[in-house]
This record gives sequence, C-alpha cells and structure tokens, in this order.
Amino acid sequence: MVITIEVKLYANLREFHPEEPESKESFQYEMPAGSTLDDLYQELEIPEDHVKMNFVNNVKKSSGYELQEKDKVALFPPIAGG
Amino acid sequence: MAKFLRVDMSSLEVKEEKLPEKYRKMGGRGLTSGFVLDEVKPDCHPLGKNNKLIFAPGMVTGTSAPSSGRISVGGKSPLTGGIKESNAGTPFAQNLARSGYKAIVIEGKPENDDKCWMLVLDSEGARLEEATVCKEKKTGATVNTLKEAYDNHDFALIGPAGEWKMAMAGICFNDPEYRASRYSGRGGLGAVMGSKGLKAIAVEKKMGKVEIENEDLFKQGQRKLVKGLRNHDVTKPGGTLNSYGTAALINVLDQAGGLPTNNFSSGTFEGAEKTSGETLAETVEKRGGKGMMGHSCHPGCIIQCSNVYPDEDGEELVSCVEYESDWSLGANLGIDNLDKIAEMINICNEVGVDTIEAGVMLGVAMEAGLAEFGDADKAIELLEEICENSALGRVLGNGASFTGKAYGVTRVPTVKDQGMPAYEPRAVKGIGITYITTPMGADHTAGYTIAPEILSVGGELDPLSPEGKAELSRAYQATTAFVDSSGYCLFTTFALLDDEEAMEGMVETVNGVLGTDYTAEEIVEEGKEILKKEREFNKRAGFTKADDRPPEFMREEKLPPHNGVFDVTDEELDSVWDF
Repeated sequence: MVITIEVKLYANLREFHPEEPESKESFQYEMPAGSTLDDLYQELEIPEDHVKMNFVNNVKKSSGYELQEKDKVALFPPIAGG
Repeated sequence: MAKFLRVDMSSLEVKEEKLPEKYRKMGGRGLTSGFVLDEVKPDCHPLGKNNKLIFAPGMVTGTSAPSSGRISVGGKSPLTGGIKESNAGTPFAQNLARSGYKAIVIEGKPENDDKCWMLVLDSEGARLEEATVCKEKKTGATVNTLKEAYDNHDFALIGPAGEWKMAMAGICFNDPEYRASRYSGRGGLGAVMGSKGLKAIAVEKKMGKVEIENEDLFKQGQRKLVKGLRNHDVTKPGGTLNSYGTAALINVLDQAGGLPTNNFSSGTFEGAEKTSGETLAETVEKRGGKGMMGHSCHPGCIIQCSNVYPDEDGEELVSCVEYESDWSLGANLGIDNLDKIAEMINICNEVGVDTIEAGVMLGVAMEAGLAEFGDADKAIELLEEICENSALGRVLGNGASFTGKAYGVTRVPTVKDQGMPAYEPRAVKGIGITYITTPMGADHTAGYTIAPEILSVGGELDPLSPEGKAELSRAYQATTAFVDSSGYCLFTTFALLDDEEAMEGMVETVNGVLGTDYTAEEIVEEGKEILKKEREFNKRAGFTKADDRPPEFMREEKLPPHNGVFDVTDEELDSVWDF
C-alpha cells in the first residue's frame, strides 16, 4: 500500500526539491505505507545530518516517526536566532 | 584603577570615580543591575531625578574575543515600573570599554528642558556639551550632525520619542557604517535618557586597550571559541544565521504553530513564506544594489546575522529586518509584505522606538478597531502619529498595555506591561514561563528555552508540554544573566550549548580578562546572583507573585492550530524562584 504526503523544504534544504531545486513550493510525494521520516530523507537524497527539525501537521516529530496518509511534512536544517 | 563615570544632569557635572571593589569582576548586565539595586530608589518615578541610567560594556567587550561587542543599559523602566536591562551590539560598546571606564552612571535631571546635552568622552577627558541643535531630530539626522563635529567617535543617542518620554522609546547606537540602527530597545530606557535631557553620548574610538590579566589564558579561550563558532551549523560563516538572518525562524515557528498572528489569536500565518528569512535573502540577492545579508552589528563578529534591506531599485531601505521586527510588524499584524515591514522598521528606528513594543501595540490597536489586520498603510499612518507627537501618537507611543487600557481591549499580550515577543506561550510553554517570571517583563532573550523546545539545540523537548519547564527556564535565565554580563552575543550560546570545548573557551576568555577562576558550573551560580538582585529591586518597587502571571486570555482562549491554553500552574511559575 502506498500513502501520499505533502512535503515542504526550508532554507538550504530546498536544493533537494525533487521537481525544481530551490523551489519554495510544497510537493506531493508517494511513499510505501510504514515509511518513516528517515526513509523520506533517503528518498529525497538528503544526508541525514542535514535535517535538524521535522514538523508533521505542525507537531515536532523525531526522525523515526511513521508517516501517515495526507501528512503535511516540513523539514528544516539547523536554524536558530532570536 | 578600575573606574567609572558619574554624570549629574542636575548640576551638569561629570566626575570620575573609583569602581567599588564589589563591582570589579562585573560587567554588562551584572554591573547595571548592581548599580540599580544599590543606587536607585525602588519607588522613584522612572522619569524623575531619582532614577539613574547606567551604561556598561561586557566583561570581554573591546578585546579580540569574537562576537563580544555588546553593551548593557539599565535603570528603572517607565514601561514596566521594574528593573530593566536592555543590551545591544555596536562599536560604541567596544570603544566605551577601551576608554577604560567600566560604566557610565547618568543621574539627576536638569531644572528645565529648553536645552539638551551630550556627553563627550575623548582623550581630553569627559564633559557635557550642549546639543540643542539636535533637539527633536530623528536618529539618522542626529548621527549625521554629530559625526561632523566628532568624526572619530561612536554614538549612543535617542530619537524624538525618547525626548517626548514615550514608554516604548529605546536607546539607539550606530553600527559600523554609522547607521542609527542598533538598539537597546526594550523597556523605555530612551525615555529615561530623554527625561535627563541627554540626547547623546559620543565616545572616541580606540582611546586605549582593555586590560587583560592573563593574556595566555585569554588567547587559549579565544581560539577554542572561534573554532566552535566557525564549526557550528548555525553560527558559522555561510551558516543559517549568516545566510538568512534571524528571520529564518518565521517559517520554523509557523510550522510549530507558535508564530503569534493577528494579535496573538493564531499560531500560524498564511503569509509566513512571504515574510520569511528565505524570501528576505532571495529579495536581497535579486535586488542587489546596497542590499546585503551577513552584515555585522560590530567589528569582530563571526556570526554576522544582520542585513541591509534594499528597495526595488537597490537603494537602502533599512537595516535590519530581523526576526522580531519582521514578526511584530508582519505576522502579528497580518501583514505579509516585506517592503512595508521594512518601511515600518525604518520609521521605528528613526523616531526611536522599540520595534517589538511598536508591533505589539499596533496589534492591540488593530484589535481596538483603529485599523484592520493586514492593512499596512493604516499601520504606517498610526506609526506616523507617534512621529507627529499627536494626542493619539502619545497614547500609542506608551506601548501595548497603555493602548489596551485606552481602548478597553482585553486581548493584550503583555507581562508586567511589556509586550510579548515572537513566540506564543500557548504553543511553547517554556518560553511562556520565561516571559512571565523574568524581572524584565515579557522578554524572550531573558531565558531562550526555544533552543531545546523548538530548535533542537542544547537538547530536545516537547514545546507543548509544561513538564520540567520551570526548571528549564530557571537554568536558561541564570546562564543568560551571565552571558549578558560577559559581553558576548547571546547567539554564541547556540554553539556553546552543543560544544563543550567552545563553552570552556568562553569561560577562559572571561577568566583571562578578569583574573577570575570561574568554571562553567559557577557561571550559572553567578547568573543566579544577578537574578536575585533584579528580583529584589522589583520586590522593593512593589512587585509580588501576582505580577508573575500570564494575561488572562491565554488561560481562557484556545490557540489554533494546537487549540491549547497556557496550562502551566501558578505554583510551577512561582517555583522558578525556588533557589
């Protein structure tokens, strides 16, 4: 079974946009059911240490989180400020 | 001999005094808060002759320690009625430190306010000179005028809002290119300076060198710290702070559901992307001209998180669009246009008010119906009322709480009458505890628990859970009180929290300069001592536990998208002070 999620990449992770590198637009992505955020990094060829924060449906998740149908995923590199 | 300057604005006398022994190992916030507790009558009127205004560079400021050009300004706040320390990064801090004076204490008040004055500190000594030619001049014009006569100096100054004694007036400093753009913005200290008839301070550059007790230890620490800052993904050259500025946080907080929107009525903003650090960097690159990312607020900064924002023709519009200002005048007002936000930041910088308080005030004004959320042109008109010193401008210029009272608004996001910064307490519980319990009034920099709660720096915690957050806030508040005293930019802590060697280096530079033997653990204890002094001042000024509470609406109104309220109990809030 396959699930479809919506992914948005931020800051310098945008170079890993699968359709249009550097794009700020989100994209729909299909993954096998049971896939985790770690699997998503691999699919998108993002080195694991490049991702620092994951939010799924506005909730902070760890990289082991199991993706669900229609999840809205946001991936960020290390960012801080004030 | 360690010394400081005492400036009596009643008699217009300037005296050099020996720094009391108990202050000898202090700097920055530790020193300003020490002077305030020891010398300011807690029940004084903040704009009266008994209040004092203290400027103190940090412990290592003026040395070659990286990212350490910070100055603290302290006094009794006209906004909160409590103690205030507000710091800024500027070459003024470095050159005041190099003058040999550990602090400047401004006290008293002239009999009448026909004239205004400036303090000049140069190789000929320290003296007051008349500055009436700059009376009610905006900040940019003031710096340009002063620069003509004092061409090898850095400046601290106020805009007209400070002279008009508005409670959201800040104290402005020049950046390395003489823009009037760096601010000790919070808490209305500009109004205290205005009340004393002091328009500006000019300090000659490089009058001397900061004394270093143990040069070898200092250098050893400096190397470790430089390495740490250059290696950390957030602080390194080309890292996220350098490339996108602090506004990279707009999208992060929006995704976390913690970006206060439309006067703290939602935690997400549809226009986040349009006002994000990513769009900011893209716009700066596309427009070219005078715009730049990676700008420094003072020489010797490795992080360089500031920027210069250009208009469509590449001409300079303002420096700088940082996260807090971008949010307060953007998402918080439902405004998604970076050009309009930049225009509003420029108005605030020029008239001399805190951009955070200005944005929070405008959110309350919109709630009151003075403008629609999203109406940037009307928001600009309201800021212009402040510049005109109109009756409406005088209401707005006194901040969010004052405006809320004037218009009968109940959703007023303030603590101790100071406007909340860009993180929603209902979505990020630890930072809410910091806002509520710090003696400063709502202030994110007082204990930036966002690091582990949102940014996965220095640990990993659930932002929505209140569990363990009182202890977390206490620890961050204590460490921060020390960092604010050291002269280091708070952003160095992003590297320090993840890198033990860099932390060790920071402590070694302090020990090298002061001849102390602090350990990393002991600096937290030093920080606690500073917090206790600040709390004690507020207690003597009449503050009680009842002042350490959130605005009522945050206990009652659920905030989308998480639909939670602020659920940290009063007992937990009070426990921050169990030490």
